[in-house]
Amino acid sequence: MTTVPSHTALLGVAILRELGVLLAAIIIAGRSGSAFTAQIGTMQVNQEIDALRTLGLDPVEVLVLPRLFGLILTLPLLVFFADAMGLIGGGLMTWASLGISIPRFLEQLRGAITEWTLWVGVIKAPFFAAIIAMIGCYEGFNVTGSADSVGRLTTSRSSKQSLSSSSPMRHSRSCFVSEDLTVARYDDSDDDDIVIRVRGLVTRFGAQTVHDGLDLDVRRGEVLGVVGGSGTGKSVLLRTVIGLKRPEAGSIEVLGTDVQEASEAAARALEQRWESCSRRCAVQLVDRRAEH
Amino acid sequence: MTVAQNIEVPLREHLRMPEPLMDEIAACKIAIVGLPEATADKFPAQLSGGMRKRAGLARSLALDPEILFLDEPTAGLDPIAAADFDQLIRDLKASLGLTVFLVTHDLDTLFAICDRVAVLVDTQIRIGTLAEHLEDDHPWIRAYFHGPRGRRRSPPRRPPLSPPLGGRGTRWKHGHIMLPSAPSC
Repeated sequence: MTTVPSHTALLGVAILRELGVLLAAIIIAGRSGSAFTAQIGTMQVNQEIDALRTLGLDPVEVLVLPRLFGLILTLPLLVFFADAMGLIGGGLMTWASLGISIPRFLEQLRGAITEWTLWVGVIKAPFFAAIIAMIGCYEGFNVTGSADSVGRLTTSRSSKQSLSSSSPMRHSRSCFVSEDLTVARYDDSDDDDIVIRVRGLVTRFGAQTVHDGLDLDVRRGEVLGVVGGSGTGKSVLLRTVIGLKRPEAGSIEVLGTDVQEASEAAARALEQRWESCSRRCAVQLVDRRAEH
Repeated sequence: MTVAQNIEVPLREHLRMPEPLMDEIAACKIAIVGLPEATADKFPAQLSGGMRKRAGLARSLALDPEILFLDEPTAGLDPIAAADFDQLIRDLKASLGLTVFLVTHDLDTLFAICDRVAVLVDTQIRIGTLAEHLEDDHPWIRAYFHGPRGRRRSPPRRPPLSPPLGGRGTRWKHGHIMLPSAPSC
């Protein structure tokens, strides 16, 4: 060990313990992390995530977990590759500039590193992978409205990711979409003829009031058309009734279940009984999931 | 994912059932919405806009829902396809007993299939039949129903539940034959 020249030891230890995993993580953050943000962000813009929810699918389960596990599995493999490439490059450099032959370099290397040097690096990879996937997906869900927003958050995510690759702080903020549905109320409403009952609904966007105390009953078996000028909140009303948006005030009962107070189980049972077909009539929605 | 696989997604997620049964349900729903059988193995990108909407509707019907929420279902369709879609909603409502909550800009849709109409004006809502809205004095409602586009439609008439526009008989036969057996499948 003492005979090993310092440059070979430095090279081996630095690449295996730190640089290989760090560089692989940064490249993956730039490539896959941004891709996650862009994919989920685009789905958000296309209302595909809403469509998933109306199908009773949990977007975290469907979109985040597969990406998370995928990256946790692949990043360690990529770290092996990065380590190997780093050592090959280092070997070539010592041969070219210091005149040490490759077999001699390998021999020196064998003296300088142990099996553990490698594992110390590789063991970090799953953690980096988890952070990258979490931040990527989190920013994807943060996309609102426009394609512009996808670009902005993709960039912000990439930079954040590079900076925070080693701090898992943002990780904890990633519990995004779980709704706080608590009390179960599954009693049938008094008269079965009203399937949707909205009372005193108030919706605001900032200072602008969209709905001010709406009352609405939908009877079983009827077709109710909702019309109104642009910006009067037609789609907002629909999204509120199916629980995709929380109103400022008021109550909404669908098939006798309060949409806001329904427990997870009741909400899922309810989801099976209605369906929504959004403007972008979302056949494409599950499509995108298959691409990756 | 193909159209059939799309339709099977909610089934897979919520219920446990054998694969062949799911395929049968998917085929049944495809027939209900009046799409040709071959659509099952096609990808959404290979379908026209109108067919895509029908496919979306087929998936919505996968779990035999009681309420159907539609957000501008006829937007972007040509008038013939839009009229077809209206007819389809009406057929489904009649045969499956669906309740439909429909957001629309399409006056034809309103006159053709809606039992009641809710108008959102001045952060309030006014609900009534078309006849009531036609009498309403509110300036926006007047402008909406008595404007150049609205005038041509009123008074409301309801075409009978009959085979729709000519030339589409074959496609529709599917729907009509399949409809009575729909709830049981």
